[in-house]
Amino acid sequence: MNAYIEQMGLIAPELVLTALSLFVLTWDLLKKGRNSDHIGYATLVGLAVTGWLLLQQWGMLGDKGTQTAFGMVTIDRFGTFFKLFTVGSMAVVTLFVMLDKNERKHGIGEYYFLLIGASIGAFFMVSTNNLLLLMLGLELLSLASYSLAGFHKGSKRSAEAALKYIVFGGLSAGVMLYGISLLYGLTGTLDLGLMGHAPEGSGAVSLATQFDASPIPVAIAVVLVLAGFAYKVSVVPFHFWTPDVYEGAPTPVTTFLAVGSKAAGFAALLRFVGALFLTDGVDASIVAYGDRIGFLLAILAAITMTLGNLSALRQGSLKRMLAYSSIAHAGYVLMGAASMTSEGFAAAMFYLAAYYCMNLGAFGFLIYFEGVTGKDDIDSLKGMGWRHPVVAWSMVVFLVALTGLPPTVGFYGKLILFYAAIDAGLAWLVIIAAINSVISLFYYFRVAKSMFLTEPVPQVPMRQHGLAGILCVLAVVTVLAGLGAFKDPLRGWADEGPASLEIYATDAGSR
Amino acid sequence: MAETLFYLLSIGAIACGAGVIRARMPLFSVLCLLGAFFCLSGIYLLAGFQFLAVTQLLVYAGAIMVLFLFVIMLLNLGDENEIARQSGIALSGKQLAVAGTSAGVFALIGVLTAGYGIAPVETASTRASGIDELQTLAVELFSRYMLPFEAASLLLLLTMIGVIAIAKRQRAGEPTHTGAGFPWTKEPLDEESTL
Amino acid sequence: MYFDYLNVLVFAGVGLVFTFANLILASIIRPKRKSDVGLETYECGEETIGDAWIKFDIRYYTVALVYVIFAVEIAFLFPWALVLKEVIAGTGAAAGSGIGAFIIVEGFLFIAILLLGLAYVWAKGDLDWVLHWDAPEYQPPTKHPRVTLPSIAELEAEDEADAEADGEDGPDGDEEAA
Repeated sequence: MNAYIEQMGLIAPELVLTALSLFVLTWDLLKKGRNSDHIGYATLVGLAVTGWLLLQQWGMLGDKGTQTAFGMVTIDRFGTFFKLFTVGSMAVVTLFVMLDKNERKHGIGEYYFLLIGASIGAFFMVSTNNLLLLMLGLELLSLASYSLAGFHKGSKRSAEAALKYIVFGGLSAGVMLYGISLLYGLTGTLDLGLMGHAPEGSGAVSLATQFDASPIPVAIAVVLVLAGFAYKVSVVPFHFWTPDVYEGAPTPVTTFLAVGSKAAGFAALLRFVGALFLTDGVDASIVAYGDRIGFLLAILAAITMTLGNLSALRQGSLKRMLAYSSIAHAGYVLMGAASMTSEGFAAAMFYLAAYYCMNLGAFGFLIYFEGVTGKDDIDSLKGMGWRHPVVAWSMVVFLVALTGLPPTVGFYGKLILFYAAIDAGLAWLVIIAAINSVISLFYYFRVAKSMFLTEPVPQVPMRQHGLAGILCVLAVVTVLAGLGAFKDPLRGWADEGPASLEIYATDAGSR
Repeated sequence: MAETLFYLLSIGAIACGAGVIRARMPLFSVLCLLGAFFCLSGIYLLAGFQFLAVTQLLVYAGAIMVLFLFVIMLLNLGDENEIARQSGIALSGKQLAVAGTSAGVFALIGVLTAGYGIAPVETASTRASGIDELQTLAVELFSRYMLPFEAASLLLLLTMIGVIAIAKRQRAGEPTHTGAGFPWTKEPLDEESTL
Repeated sequence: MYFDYLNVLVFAGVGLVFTFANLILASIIRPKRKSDVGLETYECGEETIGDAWIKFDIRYYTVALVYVIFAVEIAFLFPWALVLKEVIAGTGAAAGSGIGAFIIVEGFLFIAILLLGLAYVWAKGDLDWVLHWDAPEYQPPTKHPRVTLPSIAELEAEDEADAEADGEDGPDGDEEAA
């Protein structure tokens, strides 16, 4: 009994978020659809408390090492790293919702509720070794995202986005569940740690044992689960939903899908691959198989980044271009997973941290731009640089970071990703990625060119936008610029992640 | 006998599943789906999962089926071609097919990466957890799996709110957006339904 | 194992046989005479008006959705009831694990969270079948003014007037009056 209460302390951030979601919902009901901004402020306060708790946890983990709550939630630095960034990005998205000129101000309490629900899902996804809880977290995240994508009821595009998202999402969830049930049938456990290494008397059979007996069922199971993850992070054969959903969804939701949801998917993917193939104690035969899975991921990464970048070249809409750019970036992050080393994982984590900043900024700019012109095509950007210089220059910084040029965090992130991939013997992938970065320069530069190098179109309506929007974007810019200087601590945090995964594995072995 | 029943039920489930996608009338699809649910329920029963079998009937064959029927009546469709026409949304069957096929191809790649040779799989004994008795299941559900249990309640709540938030009728005097309108928000709101 | 359910199987079998045997039997022994009346939806009842394929109101969907959610809740609460009995009686595995109070709290928490959903639906007015919130005042249609039946004398006067005017408007006027 006392043990349970103690374990509740470990999942305090999740509990606070849950309480926050219920509070937000109740308050919205009691307020009966008056100005929803108060609910937004309440959400921000709750997220701040969660963030504080997570920071405490980060410190605690340094002292005590990895903890397990309720036998399912693994509290380690890997998970806490992603949780911190999820909370941060969620706070920014909440601000975007409050400042979005295309969003109504009344009766949108559900919006915040769904956003918080999605982050609870992301929390469970990034910090569990149990496939049941992983699936629940994934579904929480997905269901919230489906409804959020269709949140603009009057808009056909929004409805289309929600419909496409839910149909593709349902398909991929089915595929993934099939894989999970195969894994459960093969090993008799849902715990990834036990799948990687099953000690005597645990009642489970390790995946390696089953692999030695017959590799094909194991391969099918693993690959089906990977397909589910690939959908979530929009890797190429499963990317079809991305442009349409990103375009149709309300822009703050798109921001969340591109940043929070995708990063959570990658975190779960890294944990899955790491626990099955990389941790201490797993058998040699399955490690060798892991290398082949790594090769498969490398091929997917190459296809994903190339296709994403080539498609982004042809887009007229900034929103759609950013959607394809996010597909391309999924390819870059996948390089880290494909290298199948602890350095690769750390690089992927670092790049995801950079990705949070760059894309939050880029989408924040999009919201600002939509608020000013009501359009999202690149041609309407003409003259933005002269009329809204602060915002435009911020956007240039984000674009530079997205391209991966110095002196931004994007450059450094790509650099360590490339190093990790070369160390893992994936030099060909690095060459493809470098070529892709050059390609991406063209379409990112097109945006900058449109803003600065073309004459302002006289009929573009200029509307005074809330100062808060600019400040918000600026805050992100400051973080971004600062990261160049503060990159070493961040690098250190990212390195903690894979380390904590491996520490957990040795624990599982000795249990 | 158990094996024969299993194969009969499996063939039934697959046939019904094929019927769902083959039927031109959405209502026939629903009926086929109902058949598939019954077959699955029988399979669960054969495997000794009574509770799962009952839940399958109660939730899927009972509640979810009603929901499907209402949705079909909501859309007011004669046959599948109407769906695309009436809602104005292309269902992008091609893309879906590609995604589905990629999953299959993906699985095939998995097979290739694993090498060749197939041996009978010695599955781990899932019975060891003794989940077949409802009593055991109940104790497990509320002690070991209490966190997923509570998360499930949150999931249900979120689904309910999310679906109602986007499905319910736009009230009179409730604007979709304020501020600069996109071209597509200017079109008059469909009064009948917004799905 | 499966033998435990033999009675269920027999029950289902008897149900199926009973249904279809009656239908087949009826089709064999009933007289087969085809007529237009026989092909109507209700052979000896109201004449049908229009099509059965009408668009349902979205409110049906909302109610069905709430029903689904609570059906799932019932499914979860069934095992809870079993454990609860043990916990209160202080016997069995549940009591032995020393988390009795926790189990009770868990169940109520589960119900409370879902009840919040019900409260949401209720407060947002989705359970009200008659939409009363911001519904506009009922305006009698202006295009087709309410028909007050004319008196016999007026009708006769109208007939005379129609006879004088050209025959075009005549039938219309008659129909409305009827």
